[in-house]
Amino acid sequence: MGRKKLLLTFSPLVAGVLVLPACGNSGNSGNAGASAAAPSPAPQLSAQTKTLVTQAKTEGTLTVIDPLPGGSKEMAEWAKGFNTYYGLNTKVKYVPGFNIPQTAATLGQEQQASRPASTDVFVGSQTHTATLLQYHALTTEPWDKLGNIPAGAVQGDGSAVAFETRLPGITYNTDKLKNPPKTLQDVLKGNYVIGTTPYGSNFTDLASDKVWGQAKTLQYVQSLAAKAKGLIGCGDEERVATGEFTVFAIDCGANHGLVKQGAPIGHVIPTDGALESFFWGSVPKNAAHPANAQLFINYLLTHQAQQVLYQYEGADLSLLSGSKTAQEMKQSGANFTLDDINFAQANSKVINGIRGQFQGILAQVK
Amino acid sequence: MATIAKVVLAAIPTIIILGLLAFTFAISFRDRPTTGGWTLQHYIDLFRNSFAAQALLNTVIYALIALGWAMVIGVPLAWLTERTDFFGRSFVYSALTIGVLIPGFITAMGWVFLANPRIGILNTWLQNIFGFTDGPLNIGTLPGMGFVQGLGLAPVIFVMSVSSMRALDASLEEAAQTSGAGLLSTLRRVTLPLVKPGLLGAAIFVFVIAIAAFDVPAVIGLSNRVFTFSTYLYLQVNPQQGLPDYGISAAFSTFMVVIALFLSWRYSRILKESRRYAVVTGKNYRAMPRRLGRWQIGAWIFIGGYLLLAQVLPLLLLVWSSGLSFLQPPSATAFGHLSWDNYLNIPWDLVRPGLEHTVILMIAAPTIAMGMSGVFSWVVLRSRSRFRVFFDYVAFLPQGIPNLIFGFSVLLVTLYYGPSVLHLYGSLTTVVIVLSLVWLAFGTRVTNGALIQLNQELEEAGYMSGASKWTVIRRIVLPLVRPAFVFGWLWLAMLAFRELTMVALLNSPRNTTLSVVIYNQFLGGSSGVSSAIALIMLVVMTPLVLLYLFLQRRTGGTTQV
Repeated sequence: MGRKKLLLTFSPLVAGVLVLPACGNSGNSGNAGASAAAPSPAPQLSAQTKTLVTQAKTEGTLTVIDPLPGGSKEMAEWAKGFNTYYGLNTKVKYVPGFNIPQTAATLGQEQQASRPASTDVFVGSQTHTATLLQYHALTTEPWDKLGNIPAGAVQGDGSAVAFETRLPGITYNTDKLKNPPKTLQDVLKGNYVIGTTPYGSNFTDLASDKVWGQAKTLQYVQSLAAKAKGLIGCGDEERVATGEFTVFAIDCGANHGLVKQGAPIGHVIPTDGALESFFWGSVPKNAAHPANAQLFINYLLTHQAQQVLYQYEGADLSLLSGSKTAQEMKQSGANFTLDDINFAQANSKVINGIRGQFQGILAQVK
Repeated sequence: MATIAKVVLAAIPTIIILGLLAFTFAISFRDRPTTGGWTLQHYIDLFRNSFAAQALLNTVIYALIALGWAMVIGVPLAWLTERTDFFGRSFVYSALTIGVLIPGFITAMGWVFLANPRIGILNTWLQNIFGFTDGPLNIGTLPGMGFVQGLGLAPVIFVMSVSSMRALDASLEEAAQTSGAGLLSTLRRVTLPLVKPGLLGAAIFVFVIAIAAFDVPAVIGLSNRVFTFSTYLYLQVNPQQGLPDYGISAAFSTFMVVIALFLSWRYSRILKESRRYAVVTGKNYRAMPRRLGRWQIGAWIFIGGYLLLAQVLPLLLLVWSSGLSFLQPPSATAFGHLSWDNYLNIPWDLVRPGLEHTVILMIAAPTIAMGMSGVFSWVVLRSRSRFRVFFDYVAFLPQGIPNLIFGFSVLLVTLYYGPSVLHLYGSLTTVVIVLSLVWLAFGTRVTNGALIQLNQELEEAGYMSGASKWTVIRRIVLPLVRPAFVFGWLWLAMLAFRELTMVALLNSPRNTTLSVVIYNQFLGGSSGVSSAIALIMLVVMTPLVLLYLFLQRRTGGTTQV
């Protein structure tokens, strides 16, 4: 084949590789922070924070495996705000991590093998954060010295910081269900097409003596598994919007992003199992860029970052003053059980013992 | 000296391949990957584990169903193109080549939108037309998944059956017809028995591929609680709680290796026995195509039906899905919701590095694979090394063993034993290396075929004229085998582009490819965005396919690979 024809044939492929890097430069994360000129730092940074900022400038990069539905757009806004807040030029690398248990398992094995962590910030639930604490895979930091973090948001012996409140419940299709279930027991009674998570999301928390207890929860999971039509993950609420499932229980919180797109989904906090749980940020022991990681988590508790969080997730941290989620919780009238790391650690024997059983039941392993 | 150098070069990948298998075997008997004593507990747990047993049973059923569909489609297609006067021969070759381009997980995504029992568009139409209360089609079952996999494997059966069909001496069929046998009788009693070894070999090959298939079980099976070996292994390595259980995974993998080695041995025996069925004798053999007459229409319906199900419908669904913020059946309301939003909202910060990694993979892995294959073939066919039979067998080994097992083994080796300074764990280099190794089987078949056809007299003439070995290779051998190398390289480049199984298992932020980006978006509930990226991916790949088809035409329109 002549060289000219070869070039013509391959030119679209080469053009794709050359042109695509230029795409999406408007408002995306990745290099957005790195290319902007460093503005003046935010005022009143504590001494500890200033030390971290100096260290962060040397590091230059931050990698975040992020499971939140807000995705790259949310992370892009955070990255921009983060760099502006501290006067940094950090390249924030966003990696979608829709499966928190998988990320936790990866971090645990990397810690055991003395490998650098895949992410500088672990974003996870209390259960998986507690698991990583068991494997001593997270660092302890002086979060109270960084300025933005209230004492009540730090748990796990100073390893983890709550930055978002999640209110797990029931997602349902508003087109197909005019009378959605109000309780978890209602889910079993109605003629619903039920989807549930493969990791037994939140059932292990219900199994504690403070909520339902093991026997009742086990019975519920068995009944749910028999009625469920399939397994979907947190973030898969689109499959409720399409009508493939009419009910998703127990979800990981309302999918605000889909609702904003006009998807026909609604969310109910079950009155018989209302949990106030959180997303936690922590720094793995073998993180490659620990200074940027700490500063990023500190930044997530600022008013600006919380506004971005609410915009994309429909939730913020209920522990902060002015929290919209706290108001919504009050208005719901439900009696919430605090489901945090302390709770997970106190109930670890129950949780660790029963989770595998729940997952096997949900997977319908005979 | 040159031979010794080539033997050493061939020995390196040999040691790696055997070493990885040995490592998996060893892990299956260790308490922990790096510490602890020796134990049989993993095998005891495996055989007591109902989840593993179910996954194994599902895998066998799934692979058999996929094989059945692949044979039912691929063999008739091969017969039509090679034994009849069907005038769409070139079109079939081109269409099936394009089919290879479409990644299996994309076809699977399309079929979820088509035949999900509750929202599948086909089900919606059938319910509206025939009044069914429930959708009659359910893609989330073993038969459904096997069907989708079979559609994807039919081109492989086709390619492997073509060579057997092409070489048949038509006089045997003519003799049958002269004796009064009809078309079906001739097919059943003459044609099929003669091509049986080739078909059996193809069946075993495809069965092993289906056993290790990840795309379809991951996209369709996981959420419907239908687990196969590949998704079981994936879940063990990426558990929902605690740390990965490598011991039981290694035990399961070892068990599958034993099965795969047995199938591989049977395959090689069949290949040897196939010489008894050789009907190409001397220079007078002439293949006479059978006239189809009015059956041309039937042939076109058959081919059109296959392409509709395997390529057109899934792609159309992807196009539809890419225009909607969430999937809806076609309706006036849904048409009103169509927009470019998913394309405008493509996460380019993910797609860009994904594409870069994919392009690197497409260039590096085939180059290394074909280079190694050339060395292997030279040692096996041109050297007098006492190890040449052994090298040939080792090169063929990855063909018979599920690729997933090599990926699993590489993951453990780089995690626990790889030197930190090399940064192999989670790197793109690791993916390139492991893919190059598993493609050695394919590459050596191509390069063996090319060298076998090369008469050694040409090389001897070069030596007698005073040329050195390297000059003979460079000026005589390479130009003559170049077409085969180019075909092999292009084919592997296309496979690299669509690869998901290995890259998903070895995935890290440093080596994410475009297929993983699409898969993650799909898993994360962004089916519209994942469909949009998938379509862009296909468009970008088109030049490579056109080049392949162009080169194919220039060499006579026959499939070289």
